[in-house]
Amino acid sequence: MKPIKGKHCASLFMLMCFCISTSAEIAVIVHLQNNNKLDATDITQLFLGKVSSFPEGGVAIPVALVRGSSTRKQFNELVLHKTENQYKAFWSRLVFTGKASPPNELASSKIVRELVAKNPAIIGYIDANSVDDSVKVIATF
Amino acid sequence: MIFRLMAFLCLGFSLCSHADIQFSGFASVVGGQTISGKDDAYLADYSLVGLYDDDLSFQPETTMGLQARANLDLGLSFTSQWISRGLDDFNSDISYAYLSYQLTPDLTLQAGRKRLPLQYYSEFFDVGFAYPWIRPPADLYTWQILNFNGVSLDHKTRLGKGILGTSFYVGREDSTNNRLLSTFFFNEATNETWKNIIGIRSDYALGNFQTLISYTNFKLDRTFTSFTTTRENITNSNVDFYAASFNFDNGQHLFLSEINHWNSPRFATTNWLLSLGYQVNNLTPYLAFSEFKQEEKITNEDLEEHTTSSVGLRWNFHPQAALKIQFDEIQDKGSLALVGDAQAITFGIDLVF
Repeated sequence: MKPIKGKHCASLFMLMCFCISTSAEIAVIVHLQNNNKLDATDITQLFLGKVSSFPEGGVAIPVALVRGSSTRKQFNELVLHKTENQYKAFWSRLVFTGKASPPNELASSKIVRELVAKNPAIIGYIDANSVDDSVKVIATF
Repeated sequence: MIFRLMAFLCLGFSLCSHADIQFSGFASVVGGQTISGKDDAYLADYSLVGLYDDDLSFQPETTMGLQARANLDLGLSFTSQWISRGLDDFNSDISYAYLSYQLTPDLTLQAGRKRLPLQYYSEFFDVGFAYPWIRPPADLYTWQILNFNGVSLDHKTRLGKGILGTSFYVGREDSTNNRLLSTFFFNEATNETWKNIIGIRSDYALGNFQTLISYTNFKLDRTFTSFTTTRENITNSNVDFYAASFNFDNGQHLFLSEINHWNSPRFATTNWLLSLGYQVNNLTPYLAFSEFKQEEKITNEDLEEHTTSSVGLRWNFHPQAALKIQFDEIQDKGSLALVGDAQAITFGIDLVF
């Protein structure tokens, strides 16, 4: 385990507080060696297929959770500003015109975390409670 | 027909273990009629001549599509899309069949048969679920050619905080017995060719705003094939087509607009659209106004001129389906009256899978 510096310790503490109070915070995660800095706009652009590479270069492969997941619903509404229906409508424009394919949908936060830990190109969102030290959290919502 | 195709594809592809095949599809079941009076007609879809009259009909706009995408790895894929329409007694037609090769994550080459991307909604005109209205306003989507065979190169890049997408395309389309020209405008067999098509389109998306500009140039050939025709063929007529769109969508407020311009030696046509919507819970009430105006350049005569005022409601009753109802009032003002004034009600269910 790496030593935790003061700043991280504080944010970890805050994270824990949020976890206790709302238990549904979302963490956007990437591979440990991925050094990109992404804000909400960058994350939205990747998850809506508007661009398919990270700002520092290299292919970016977003993965989503399956429909019915509360984390997916929360991520789509908070970050992408889309209801499930609006998300589908948005993607249908790209899918049926050959512009892009929607993120693959995985069954659980654990599966997303395991894929992200293995592949530097993958970016995913998971329930913050499922975060461990195998992945890097680049944003929380 | 579409299900036979699907069964055939499943069988065919199951023998081929290396390709990962994804199926998706869409459907719009739409009914409607004019309500303004006996014998009133409403041309809801120009390109395919989808015409409502004063009897309820589900034929003019009911559309179903099935897409298969074979992913061959290393950035190569092949996509095919079949469309079945009420207008064609649900016989299938290929609207897309192209290979796609991803040269870099943000640079893609596509070659084959595709929709001609003249305007904002051209490429997904058939996918009702993708927009709020029953259809993109007929005043703007009136062209006799929908597809082309050719090549396109698509590029995406970050610019400021937004994303700039640019697309180049070249190709050609030959339409024998073109439906709009043969069965509606000229009432005689008409072949239409758009050749040396070359175009560029550029869109910029920044937060909730999106703009699109496009320019397409081609040479038009038109041949009247009947022995008894009195019309003169057209050869190598130069056409410039410009389109621009500006849209805002923050998940609640919706502002959609488009303007386009057709310029050929004899005709200049300018069409525009403004639409507002408000998305609350699962409901989107909307308003739209559009105009088509065509001028004969030598005599300055207004040939074809019509406007459509629309009010409607989209209800997202299911994550993958929407119910819509729309009222349209059409005013036909040009010296070349097409179908006359009318009021119409249309309603339908759109879904995607």
